[in-house]
Amino acid sequence: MTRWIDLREGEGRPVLLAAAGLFLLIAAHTILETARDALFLERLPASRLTLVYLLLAVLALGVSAVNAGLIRRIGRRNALIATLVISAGGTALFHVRPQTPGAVFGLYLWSGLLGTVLVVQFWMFAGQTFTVAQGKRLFGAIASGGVLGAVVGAGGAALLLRTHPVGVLLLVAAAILSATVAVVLATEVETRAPEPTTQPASTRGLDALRRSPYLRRVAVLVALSTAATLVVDYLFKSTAARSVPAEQLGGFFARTYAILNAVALAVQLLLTGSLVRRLGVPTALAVLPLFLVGGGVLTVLFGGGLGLVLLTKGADGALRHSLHRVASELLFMPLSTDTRDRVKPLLDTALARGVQALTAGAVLVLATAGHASARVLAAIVATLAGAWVLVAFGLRRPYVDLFRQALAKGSLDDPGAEDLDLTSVEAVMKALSSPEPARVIAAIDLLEDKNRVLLIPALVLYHESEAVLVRALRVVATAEREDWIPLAERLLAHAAEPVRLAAVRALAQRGRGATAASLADPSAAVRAHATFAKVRAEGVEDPAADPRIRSLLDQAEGPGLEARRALLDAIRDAGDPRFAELVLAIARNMPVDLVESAALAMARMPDPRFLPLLIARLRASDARGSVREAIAAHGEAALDALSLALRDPTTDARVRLHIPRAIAQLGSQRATELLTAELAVESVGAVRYKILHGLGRLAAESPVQIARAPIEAEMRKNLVEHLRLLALWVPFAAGQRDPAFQGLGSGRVVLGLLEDKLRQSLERAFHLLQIAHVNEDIRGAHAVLRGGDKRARANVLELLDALTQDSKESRELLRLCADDLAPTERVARASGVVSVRPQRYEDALVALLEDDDDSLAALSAHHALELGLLSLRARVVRAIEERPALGRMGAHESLASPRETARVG
Amino acid sequence: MSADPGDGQRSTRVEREIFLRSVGMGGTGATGPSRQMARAIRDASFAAGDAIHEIGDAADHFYFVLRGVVEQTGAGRAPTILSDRSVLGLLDVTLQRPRAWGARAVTDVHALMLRADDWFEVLEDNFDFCRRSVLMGAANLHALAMTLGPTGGFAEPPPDDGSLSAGREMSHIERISTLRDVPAFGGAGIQALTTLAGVAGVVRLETGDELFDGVAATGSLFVVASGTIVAERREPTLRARFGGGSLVCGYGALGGAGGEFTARAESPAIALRIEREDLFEVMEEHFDLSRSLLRGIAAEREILIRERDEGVARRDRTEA
Repeated sequence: MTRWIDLREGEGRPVLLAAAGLFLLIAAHTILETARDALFLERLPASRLTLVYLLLAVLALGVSAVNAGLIRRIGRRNALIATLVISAGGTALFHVRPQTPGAVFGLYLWSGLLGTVLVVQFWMFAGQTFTVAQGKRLFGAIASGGVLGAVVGAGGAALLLRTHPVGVLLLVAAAILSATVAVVLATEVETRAPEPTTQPASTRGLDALRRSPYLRRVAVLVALSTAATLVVDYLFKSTAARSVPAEQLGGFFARTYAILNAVALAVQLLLTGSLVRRLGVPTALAVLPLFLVGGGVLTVLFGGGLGLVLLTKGADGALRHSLHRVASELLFMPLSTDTRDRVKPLLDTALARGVQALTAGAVLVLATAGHASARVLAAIVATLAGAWVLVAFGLRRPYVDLFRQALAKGSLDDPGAEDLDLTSVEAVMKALSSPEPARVIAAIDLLEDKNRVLLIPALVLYHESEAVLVRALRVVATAEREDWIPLAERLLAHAAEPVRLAAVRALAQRGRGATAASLADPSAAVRAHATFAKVRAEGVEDPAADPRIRSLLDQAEGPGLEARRALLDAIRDAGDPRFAELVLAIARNMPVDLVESAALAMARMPDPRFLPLLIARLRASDARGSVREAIAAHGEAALDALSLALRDPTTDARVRLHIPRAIAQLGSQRATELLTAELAVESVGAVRYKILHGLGRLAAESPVQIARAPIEAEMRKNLVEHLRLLALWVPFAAGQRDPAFQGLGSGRVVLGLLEDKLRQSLERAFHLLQIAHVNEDIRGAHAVLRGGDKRARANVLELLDALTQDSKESRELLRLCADDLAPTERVARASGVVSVRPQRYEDALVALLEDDDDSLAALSAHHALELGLLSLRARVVRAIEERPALGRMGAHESLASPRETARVG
Repeated sequence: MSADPGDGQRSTRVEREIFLRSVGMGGTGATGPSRQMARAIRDASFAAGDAIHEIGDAADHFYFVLRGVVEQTGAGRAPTILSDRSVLGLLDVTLQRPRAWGARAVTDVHALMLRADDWFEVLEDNFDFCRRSVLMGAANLHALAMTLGPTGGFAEPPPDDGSLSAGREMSHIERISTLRDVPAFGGAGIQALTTLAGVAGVVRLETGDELFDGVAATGSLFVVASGTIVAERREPTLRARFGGGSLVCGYGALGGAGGEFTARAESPAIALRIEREDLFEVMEEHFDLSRSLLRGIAAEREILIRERDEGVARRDRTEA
């Protein structure tokens, strides 16, 4: 059963009712259609079909408007019920009336209108009952009901015609339509108040069509498919009228429809669901026209015999009401309910009938002119179907875009926002003239970030705040300007040491800092900057050996530290490679307070000798950001050194942990490839996690190409891990609800760890998917899956399906992990990828004891002993013997006192 | 959403960014916290007399007050007045509880509103910012504790339940259990605690043994698993006792405040030693641990502020 219908909890009744409703509806319509075709072709020439198509189209336009108004006023379900009641009554009336040519003509129109309105109303009703994800799973089953109805209707008609005249079929059809009302009445749906509007539905539908390129493409598809199938229908009926004696037409149509509908049922049951899932909705829409192209071309090549025409009609009959119907209905699912209500009736009735009218008119002209031969008609079918294929393929991108739009989070990121426009500049200038130091500094920071420091007026150096002066001096000195220099020289005499320091530092960058006052300043840092400026200006070859520098370095702890920091800052500002030896001298054995300054100096003048020092400094969190920047400044040489350190088993574990992010900081293609390769071979989970985040940063911030295949492979690995853990969680969590196990704290800890790991494996999988699809909002999609409503989740699933269209394995795993399924059901469906699926609590515990994760195994060992299960004790002993890590984690302590309950609250 | 937000909106975003930077929500580059917040933040205006939120409302957002005066009132608490550049409602957001304080606009108020989800996303995406926030919160808390008299506001430890015998090793699960008892870590997931327990060392002390003396504690945190530890500080003089499930020297230890103390065992004791760097590593990998720390700091701050206010009230009554 589950092979054909992927039914979830609570879905049985609505699916059964919908399938039953469609079964009855289509059975009734097929019986009516058989009677109609037989009576029409018995009493009227086939050429009149073109006239009936034309009239039908014109009438349908009016009926469509009435239908839309009816739905708007009384809702989808009530509209369907009302139409069914009217249909049953009207059809019964045709039975009691004499079957004159006029009445038969009217019957054709009547049945055509019913077919149009009822089927549209039914699927709109179904669209209200189910989400897009449910639609993909369940519309196949529901449509099967319809196809089965067609088989039973056609078969029943054939049987009835053996013993009864054709007219009886009308009475039977009316009775079945009445029975359908009861089924629809039994179906419960969400009721939503219609949105108030003063605009007619058709006008609003046209508005939506004008605004949406997607809907315009769908409209073209509807037009092409309607025209092509109408020509196929005419080709088939006119060929049948030519080839089959008039008195046998009723039986011929009944048998043909019965066979075609049986084939359609088989397609529906065996192929539709899997084809839609595998191909995706837009591609599935191209299947029927491809067959029609084939049939049309064959008919053109080999003549219009009934056999070939039957093959073409066969493709139409087998696929139109199964695969094509399901895929067509799904095209409307990503639209909002309101848009769907406005557009679908317009396309399915007004547009379809308008196209029918035009096509019928064209065929009438051809027939009147004597050119409506089977070959000509087949050529038209092939041409229209070819265009239909192209439009279907073209729908793929806009279809997925609709789901993206549904998930869009409203990000305001746009390239233009990076630049400051005139009004933004006004806002910044206003902040610069603020009396609040924090606001001024914030504006300076912002301008520096945007490389617009020339906008900072030199007059800011008259500001009263020390903090503003220090910040401004740091920034203006880097600009290509001179206006700040006299103001900075004035600040060399400022009372505050930080201001004097900032001033001498800024001036030193222009070779002006070495004044006598600065060289004699009480601050060691000010003296250091002035000394540096003097030594540099003198062109000293080996500054590290210069006695003036040495005397600064030899100072006692406090001033010595300040002098070193000042020297590093000055070296950073100057970027003079002659001072590299001095940087190395300071950096060896430097205290943590100097790391930031040293890293910034090293970044300014890269030297391969810095790299080992910098990489070792990744160990500490202080100034790690600057250390990473300094490493990145070394380019390819840094990448080589980082790569070696990452692969070297003797590298400090904490340093290794931070190498991936340092590699990512390089932002190059080679860095990307290196991390991607390491992701596949790295054995330490925490380092893999860092690699993952490094790749995430690269994907988001650098213009690099990331190979999707290894990333998706890693994603699949995480999804499989998620399912594996879920298989252990299901019996374990169930056991934890058992009073026998409740109260044991160790069990709750194991459960908590399992749940954390479950969440983490899924988060990592989505993180990887985000890396593979950097322009999609996968993070938002994951958030929706965790907490969004049913319809939003369904939209996410559709988007994920579309993104993984090229990898069946990824698509199926993602769907398995993300779909609305109970955990037990999810585990049951994961049998292909998860081999260990314990059923009992103890079995789950045994599996956890053997888990590769030492923490999980050690905690499970403790819990097993706490439970006092003798059968598990031997396994725990063996596990501890085989895995020393468990012993190190204290599992042997639990063994020594098995009943000692941990103090876990 | 429009691809180009338009001049007016773009200008507003720049103003927001300047404001956020000026209140310490800094950071550089296109993905810095201030940029991320400036994108997520929304304007909010309240007329004088408007209720901004009531006690019991869901705390799913907070405000930066740009201009105006707001009065906060809590049950049985003295009203507090917030003005320009204040943060309103973050405490309840951090503690993930319904509003414990109501807020009313005293004058017309222009504020910026940030949703709690967006705030936590900013913290999660910018670990350095998150780490800074934790350390800054811990440092402020420590400074507050130092003003609270001889015990620093640290509660007396509960009696030891004696579940951990001194003679044997602590199992992994007992370490996890100990960490879970610490309010700072209690909100973290088991996986974070398991990792933290894995890198924690065990220190056993007899009565009178020294746990640390000054500088030795700056790089480490100590969590008491059993027994009692007494920490003492000279200037200002402070003596506090720490029992099972507590962080020796409180949250200040996160910022290295342990270096100001000397700590000894008052009874046979077991403590877990966690290197600060190890803690930061686990915080970076498991955001739930960072969030738990922020929550713990916020809860502790509320307790200490109440204690301070009560102390002030007592003093006022005595003086009167």
